[in-house]
Amino acid sequence: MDDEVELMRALHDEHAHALWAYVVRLTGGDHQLAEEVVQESLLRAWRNPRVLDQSVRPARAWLFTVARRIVIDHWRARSSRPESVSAEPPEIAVADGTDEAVQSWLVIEALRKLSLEHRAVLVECYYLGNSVAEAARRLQVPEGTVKSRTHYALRSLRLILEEMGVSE
Amino acid sequence: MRPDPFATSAGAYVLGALSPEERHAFEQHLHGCAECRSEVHRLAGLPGLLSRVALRDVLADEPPAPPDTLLPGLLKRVRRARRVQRTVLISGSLALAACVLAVLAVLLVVPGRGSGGSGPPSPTVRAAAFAMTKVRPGPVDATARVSDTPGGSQIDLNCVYHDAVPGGWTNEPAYTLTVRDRYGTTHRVATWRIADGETSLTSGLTVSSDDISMIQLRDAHGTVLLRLRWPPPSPSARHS
Repeated sequence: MDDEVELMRALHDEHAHALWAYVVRLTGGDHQLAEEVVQESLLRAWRNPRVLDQSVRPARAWLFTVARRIVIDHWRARSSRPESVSAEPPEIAVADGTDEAVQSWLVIEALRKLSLEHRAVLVECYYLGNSVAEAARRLQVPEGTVKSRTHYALRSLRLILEEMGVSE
Repeated sequence: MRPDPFATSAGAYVLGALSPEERHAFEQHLHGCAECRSEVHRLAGLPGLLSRVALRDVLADEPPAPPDTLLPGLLKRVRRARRVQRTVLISGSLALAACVLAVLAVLLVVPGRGSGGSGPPSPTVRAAAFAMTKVRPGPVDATARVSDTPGGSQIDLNCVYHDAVPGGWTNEPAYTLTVRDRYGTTHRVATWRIADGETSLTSGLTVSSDDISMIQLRDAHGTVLLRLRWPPPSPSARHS
C-alpha cells in the first residue's frame, strides 16, 4: 500500500531488536537516548535504500556503525559542555567502515544465534580454556561429541559472521 | 573409503583444546590430509574474533525487546519526512475534485499549448530529454528529463496527446507517472488528468537518479503505456 511506510516497518522488524540491544549497552542503559539513537539510525537507512542492498554490504554492520557514531557524537557534544566534562565515551576512535567495536558486537550477536549446545562447547573449550576431556566431563557428554560440536559450532559461527560481513 | 578419524578435530585444534597427545597425532595427520588442512585454514581466524568478546557478554541474557513506542515513533517520523521532502508528489484521491484542481495548478508548469494534432512532442523540455518508448498503442507520447536535486531527483515530463478532448480537461481519470527504483520498489510520482494537447509537469522525488531503473507512464487502470529505462541505453535515444 504505502511502500515507504512498509520499508520502514520491514527495517524495524529486521533490525530494531538487535540494534536496541547494542545501543542500550552503548548508552550505558539510558533508554531514552537509546530510543532516539535507534530511531535515527533506522531513519538514515530508510533514507538511503542503497544501504539495504545486502550484496554491497550487510545492513546490520552499517546500522551498528551509524548508531555508534551517533552515540559518540552525542557524548562529544555533552563533554564539550562544562557540566559534564568528566563524562568520557568509553572508546572514541572510529574508523571508516565497520570498526572493531562494532565487529565485537557482531560476534556477540553471532554467538547468540548458535544453539545452546554449540555455545556451551565454545565457552568450555575457548573462554574457560578447558580441554576436550575436561569439557566432556563438565557437560557430561562423550569426548567425541565435544569435538564434533566444537567443530560444527565454529563452522556455523563462521557462516553467520560471513553473512554479517565480519571478516577475520 | 575409511572414514577420517580426525574429520571433526580441526575445531578443537584451533581452539587449543586437544590434549598434547591428540594434538601431536592430529598434526602428523595434517601432513597427509588436504581436507583437514583446509578445514584448519577455514577455522583458523575464529579464535581471533572470539577473543574480542568477553565471557560475560557471551553468557549474558538475551537483550530486552525495544520499547513499544519505537515503531510508532519511527512511522511518525517517516510520514513527517515525506511531507517535507516531496513538494510535488501527488498521491491524493481523485475523488476530491477541489483537490485535483489545486494539484493541476501545481503540476502544469507549462499549460497545454500544442495543436492537439500528431507529431513529435515539442521541445518544451530542453536539455537531455529522452523520448519514452511505447509499450502499447495509446493516445500519448512523452519525453522525460531526469535531474538531480539535493533531496533526490526531479523528473520533467512533457506529454502530447493525439486524441485530446477539445476544450480542456476531460472527466476521464488521470494518467500516472511511476518510477521503479533498482531495488524493485515502484513509486507513484504524479497523477494528472489530460489537458488539451499537451502537459508539462515537474515532479520531485526522494529517489536519487542513480537509483532509478525505469520511468513509466500509466493509464487510469495502471497499465503501462510508455516507459523509459534509466539510465537510457544509448545516446541515440536522446530526443533533441
